[in-house]
Amino acid sequence: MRNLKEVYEDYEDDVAILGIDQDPSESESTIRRYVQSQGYTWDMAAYVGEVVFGYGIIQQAAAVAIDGNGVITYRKGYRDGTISARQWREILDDVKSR
Amino acid sequence: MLRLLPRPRFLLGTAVAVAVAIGMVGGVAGCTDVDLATPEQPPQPTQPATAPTSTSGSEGTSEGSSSLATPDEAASLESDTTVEGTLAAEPGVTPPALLPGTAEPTAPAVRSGTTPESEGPAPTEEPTSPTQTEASPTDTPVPPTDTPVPPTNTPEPPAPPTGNRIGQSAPDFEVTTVDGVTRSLTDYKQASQPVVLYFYASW
Repeated sequence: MRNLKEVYEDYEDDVAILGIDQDPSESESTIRRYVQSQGYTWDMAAYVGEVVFGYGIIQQAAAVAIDGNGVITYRKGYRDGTISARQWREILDDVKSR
Repeated sequence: MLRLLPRPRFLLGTAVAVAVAIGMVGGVAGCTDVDLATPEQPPQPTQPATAPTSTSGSEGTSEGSSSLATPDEAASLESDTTVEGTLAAEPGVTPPALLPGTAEPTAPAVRSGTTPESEGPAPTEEPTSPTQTEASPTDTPVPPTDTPVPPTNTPEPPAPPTGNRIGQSAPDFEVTTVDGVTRSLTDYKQASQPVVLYFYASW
């Protein structure tokens, strides 16, 4: 999250970020407070089971990049390691260029 | 019987020529002839084995053999027709379909089975049925020609199948953010804007 925040300003006009909470027990108010405290400015939504399962998310901090045509270009889970700022740039540059 | 002899020759010659040149014409002529001949055929069921050989031999020298030894041929021919009649009687429906390609063999048999009762004066025409049988073997090789059907390939749709793996069309979604804004994949696609879904929790 912090790594994404570090690079987000450079991409927010080209690539949308939509955070979806993975914890069904977290309420919107909890999420809202957390986001504000961390200074995250991208969209954040509470847990939606059909999205989590529909995208086959079984890992923490999973990212799925979708290009302008709706085609998945990248996906990565926490098990593959935390996404570094440099990796975020690669992901966002790649999906932006599609 | 003397009268019968000339007809077989004529019929054989014409039938063979027509059959080789045009299967349809031969088939039609044979059919008509057979109808007349049919009445006699039923009574001669005993000679099926010999009949095929006689017909084959008659093919080579159909005219000469028919003219010289008409009685034998007549019997053999009759036997042939009877065999066909019995065989054809089973698949009664099939002959019409075969008529264009191999119309002659099947058509006579069918009519022989069906028509013997109605028509009495058929004796002269029996020889014609053999010609039909003769013509049929030659005709049979011709029909097997198959019309080639070129396989048509349908172009693949531009959009890949929906799935959650790389290269697949992302499944549609619609969520409401904690700020009350509705976001859907459809909206992103309409705006041609890439989007990264990031699944995480606050802890």
